[in-house]
Amino acid sequence: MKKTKLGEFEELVLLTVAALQEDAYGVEIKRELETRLKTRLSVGSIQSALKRMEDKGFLTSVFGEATQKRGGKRKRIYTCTSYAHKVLADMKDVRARLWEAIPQVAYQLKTI
Amino acid sequence: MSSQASIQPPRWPLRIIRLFVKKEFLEEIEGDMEEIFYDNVERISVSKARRIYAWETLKLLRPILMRNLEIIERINQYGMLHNYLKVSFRGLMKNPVNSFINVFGLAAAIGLCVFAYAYGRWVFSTDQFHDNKNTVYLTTFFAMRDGVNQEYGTTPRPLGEMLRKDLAQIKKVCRVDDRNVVMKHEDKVFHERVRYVDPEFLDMLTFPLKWGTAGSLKDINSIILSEPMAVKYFGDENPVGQSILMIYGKGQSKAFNVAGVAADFPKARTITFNFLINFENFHTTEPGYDFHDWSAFVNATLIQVDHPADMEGIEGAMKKYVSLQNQVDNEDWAISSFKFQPLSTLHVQSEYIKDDISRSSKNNFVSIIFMAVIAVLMLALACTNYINIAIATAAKRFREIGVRKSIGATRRIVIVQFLTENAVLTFFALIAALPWDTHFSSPASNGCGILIWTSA
Repeated sequence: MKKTKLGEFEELVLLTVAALQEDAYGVEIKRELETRLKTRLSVGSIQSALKRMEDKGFLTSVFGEATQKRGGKRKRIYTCTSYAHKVLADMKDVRARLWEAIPQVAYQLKTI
Repeated sequence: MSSQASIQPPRWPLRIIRLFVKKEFLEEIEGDMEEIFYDNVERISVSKARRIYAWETLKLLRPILMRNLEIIERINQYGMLHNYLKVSFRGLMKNPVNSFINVFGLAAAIGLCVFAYAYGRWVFSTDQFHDNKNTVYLTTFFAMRDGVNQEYGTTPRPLGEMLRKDLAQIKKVCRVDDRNVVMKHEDKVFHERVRYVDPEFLDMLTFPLKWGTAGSLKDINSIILSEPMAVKYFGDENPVGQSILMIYGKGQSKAFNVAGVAADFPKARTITFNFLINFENFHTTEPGYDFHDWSAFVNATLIQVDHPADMEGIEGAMKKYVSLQNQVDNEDWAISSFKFQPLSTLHVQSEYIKDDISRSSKNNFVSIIFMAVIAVLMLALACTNYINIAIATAAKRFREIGVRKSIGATRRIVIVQFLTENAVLTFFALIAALPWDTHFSSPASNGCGILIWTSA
């Protein structure tokens, strides 16, 4: 597998974007991750992860609609690229195979 | 959302992010921040929401979100600076002789400059450790001698007592007189010079005691030693309570109790002592000593006032003592006036005062000028030498400059590179200069002067 340069936190954000579909904008991503991880996240950390992944080609973005609550400022909706989907699937695959390997290794260790 | 008009996020964090965050991200991020703020307002108090807003905004200042300011661009030149440093070191190693001449010459010049500065500081710090330096004065008088009006540091014997009684502005008076005696403790017998002083001596002048109490000088049988004298007679142990014998005439002696030992004197001082005993001891040691004899003199009379402004009135009142003095003396010894020299400038003035108790030298001040001139000349010489060699080496490196320019270096970048090399070299010179200075000068323990070998 070639190097994808996707950090742990970046991967989480990327998965959230993929899950949220059309709702994937800054605040919603933050809210979703906070409830799932049960921790508080800063806007800065989410934003820098998003921008970094956009640079790397995992994400694309377009301006969405503006609401009154946002002081008339538009949202930016993020979408995963096909490349990102492929990388995510690859990583899941690698992990799954590693998980499968664990019981065997443990069993062998015991017998030795 | 009815309260939205009145409740607003604080403005100042917004200004900060507008200044630093990339323009294309601003709309989205500002919107997100506001949305979170109003969510928080519904959940928690307004002030807490504002605090969270401000803190979150500050946390937005991350390199990836920030605009490329000029400062950041300069920081990004780290790689080039690293290269300049490497090239500088290689250049230095390539011409070891040139580099040595440059570094050593500059080091010597810088060392001499620092040394001249330290010497000047030492001279000007003389006597400045006295707490009462601005309110303690040495009484002097002017007299015509050999056709010149000269200033003398001694004082007629009765003057001190009279000043104490007559003038309310004068808070403390201390007469000082010295005698040569023989001191004896067990098998140690030496010729010494003792200083007879009034008990105020240690109040007016700041000589902290290592052992004992300053007030003990009031006791006529007490003696206070300087540290070297304590070591000379009693070794390193605390001698307080021991006795020492003062032999002041044939078969005449008096035993004193050691009541105190002065801590090491600051190096830069003009007034010191070896032994201090109470002035009243003259009653015993010199039965013929007349405290009211205007024709006899004590080595010094120090006075202390509350405020330097009081001196005007005191100087005006001194006329009376001039006539008192001139009644007893013949005309040749007539004095013209009294004056008071502040302790703070005594080290400058004492050169021009005859027979005064403070010791200093006009040469100190002349030396400062000489040393400063030499130091500056040395520095100029080292600099021109340095410039000369630097230009000569630069001329050899036209090819390197050419290559750098052809691969995109601008004139400015080449200048920065050469400046870096010079900074590296000067830095080495500075380091090389340090041992030079620490060898000759080191900060005195009391922080009021610099110890230099001449002060020993």
